[in-house]
Amino acid sequence: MNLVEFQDITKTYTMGEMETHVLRGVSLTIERGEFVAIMGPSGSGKSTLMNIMGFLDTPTSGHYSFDQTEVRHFDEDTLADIRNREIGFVFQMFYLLNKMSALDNVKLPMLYANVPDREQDDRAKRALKAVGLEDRMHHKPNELSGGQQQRVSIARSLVNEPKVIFADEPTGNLDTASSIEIMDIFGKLHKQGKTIIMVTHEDDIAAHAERIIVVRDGQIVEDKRKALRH
Amino acid sequence: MKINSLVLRLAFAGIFENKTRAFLTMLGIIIGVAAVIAIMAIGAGAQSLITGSIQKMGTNLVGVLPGASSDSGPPAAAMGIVITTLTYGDAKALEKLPHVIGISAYANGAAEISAGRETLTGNFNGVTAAYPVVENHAVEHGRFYTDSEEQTAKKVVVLGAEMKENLFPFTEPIGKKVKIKDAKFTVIGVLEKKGSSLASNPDNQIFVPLATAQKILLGQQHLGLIRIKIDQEAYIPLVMEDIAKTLRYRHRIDNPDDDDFSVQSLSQALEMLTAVTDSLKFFLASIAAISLIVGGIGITNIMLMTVKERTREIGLKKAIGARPAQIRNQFLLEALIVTGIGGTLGILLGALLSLVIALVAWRLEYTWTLSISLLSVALSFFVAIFVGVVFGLYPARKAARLNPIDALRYE
Repeated sequence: MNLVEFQDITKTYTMGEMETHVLRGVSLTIERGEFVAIMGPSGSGKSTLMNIMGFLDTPTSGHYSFDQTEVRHFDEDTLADIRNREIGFVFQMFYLLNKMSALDNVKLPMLYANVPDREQDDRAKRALKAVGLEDRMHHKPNELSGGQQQRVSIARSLVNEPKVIFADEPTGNLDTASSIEIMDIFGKLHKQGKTIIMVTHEDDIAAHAERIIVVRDGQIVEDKRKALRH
Repeated sequence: MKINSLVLRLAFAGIFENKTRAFLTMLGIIIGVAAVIAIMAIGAGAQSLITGSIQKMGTNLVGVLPGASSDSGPPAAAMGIVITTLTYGDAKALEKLPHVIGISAYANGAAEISAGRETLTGNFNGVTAAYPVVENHAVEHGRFYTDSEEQTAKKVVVLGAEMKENLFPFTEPIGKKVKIKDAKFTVIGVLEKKGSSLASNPDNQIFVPLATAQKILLGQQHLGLIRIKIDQEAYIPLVMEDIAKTLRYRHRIDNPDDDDFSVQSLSQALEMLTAVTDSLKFFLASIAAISLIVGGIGITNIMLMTVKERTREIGLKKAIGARPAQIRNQFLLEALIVTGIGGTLGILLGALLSLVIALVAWRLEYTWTLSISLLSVALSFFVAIFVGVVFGLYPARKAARLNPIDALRYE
C-alpha cells in the first residue's frame, strides 16, 4: 500500500530576481513498511524532499498523496494534526527542550494530541523503555550523552504511534558507537513494521536501509533496492 | 489543549529561561499596579484627613465671610483684598435669629508675641466669648473671658495648647503676662489640644477679646469671619436664608446679586472638598493606569524578543504537531503568568506603600484612614491581566504563524 506518492514535485525559492530550483520534478512512491535512505551531496535537495514528505514544507508544484489522500489544500490545523499523529520526526540536532526532563520531552507530542494525563505518563515511559532509557527518564537533555539525547528524540517521535518516522541525518552529530546504537533502534523499529525514511550522506548509515534513493541537483538519479535480508 | 502540570511547567520554563528578562517584564506591571493601589489609598487617606478635620469643627456650623461669593473664581479675601463690610453689629443681629445657639466673630492678625524670655511671631485671634461653644474647643486650665470682659476690651488672653508650650514651656501660665505688639495682657486660661485642621491650627493661636483685638491690636471696625452654631443640622438651609435676609436688610441690599457677604455651611464645604479630592484621586489613578499601559507595551516588546529567541523551539513544536492556536495559547499563558505574578507582587507592594504612608501620617498625628479599596485592587489586577492578554496577543500570533521549516532552521 502506498504511503508516500510524489508526482512531479518541484520546489523553487525566489530571492529577489534569483530563482533557485531545489527540486526539479520528483516522482516516487514509498510503500508502508519500507526503510528508505535518501542520499546525495549537500545542496542536492534531499532534505527539502524529506521536509515536503513530512509536511514541514510545501511544494511549489506537483501532486502529493499521503496515505492515499491528496494533501493539497489541507489547512494549517489538519497539517499540524498529521504531523502530530501520522508522522514522527528525528532531527540531526535532536531539538529537545533543555529545561524539561526526558520524560516531559517525550510527552510533548501527546500534549498537542490531547491525550489524558495518566495515559501520557504510561506511554512516555513505554517509549523511553523501548529505546533503553528507562533509568534516565528524569534527566534533563544536558545530563545525557548525544546518543542518549537522540534516543529521547526517537522516543518522542514514537509516542503517538505514527505510520512513518522521518529522520534527518540522525547520526550526523554522533560518534560511531552511538551511531550504531541509533541505527540498531531504527532496524528494530523497521522489523516491527514501521516505515522509516532517513536522509543521510554517509554510505555506512545508508547501508542499514533496504532501499536507497540518490538525489542530485533536485532530481532522483538512482533508486535501488537491496535484496531482502530477512 | 487543557492546562495541566506539563503545560504549566512548559510555561514557567519559557518564562524563566531568562530570569532578568522575566523580572524586567514584571517590573512594569508591579510598579503600575502598586502605583494605582498606593495612589487610591493616599487619596482616600487625604480625603479622610480633610473631611475629618471639617467634621471636628462640627457640621452644624454656618460661616459668614465678607465679600460676595462667586462661582467663577475664589473669594476676594483669598486674593488679599480686604473687605470691610462685616461688622460686630452684624454679628449681634444674627445672634437673635431662631435656632442659633451661639455666634463667634473673628478679627485676626499676626504679631510678635512674647512672654518672659520667649518671643515668637504668631497669630492672635480676636474672638467673642462664645468661641469655646461654637468651635467645640474646651478650656483645659483657667477660664475663657466673659461677654463683659470681651465688650469692655479687657487685656486678657487665652492660649492655645501649642502656644502655651511655646511661651511657657516650664511654668504655669495663668496670671502671667504676655506681650503682643507692645501691649501687656494677662493669661487667664489655656485651651485643650484640638489638633490641626485643614487650613489652620487653633492650637498655636492666642485668643484675645474681639473688642480688644479690634481697638488695641488692629485698629479696625470690621470682622474677618462670623461663625454661627445652629441647634440642628436640618435647620441649616433655613437659618442660612435668614442670615442672608438679615444682612441684606442691614446692608441695604435689594438684589441678592449685589451681596457684599457670603454665607457658607461646613457641610457644603465638605461636599465641595470631597468632589475636589475625588477628582484629584481619579486623575492620579489614571496617571498610574498609564504606567500600567506602558508596562504592557514593555511586555509586547520583550515577548517579541522572546519569540525571536525561541524561534527554533516554536519550529520544533510545530514539527511535532502543535496547532497554531496551541502555540499562540502557550505564549498567551506565559504573558498571563507574568502579568499575574507581577500583579500580585504589585498589590503587595502597593499595600506596603499605603501602610508606610499611613504610619508616617499617624506618627505626625494626622487623622488618616488606611483604606486599600477592594475596587482598586481588583481594578488594577484585572487591568494588568487584560494588558497581558492584549499586549501578549500580537507576539503570540506572530509565533503561531511561523512556517515550521523556516522556524526550525532559524539561526
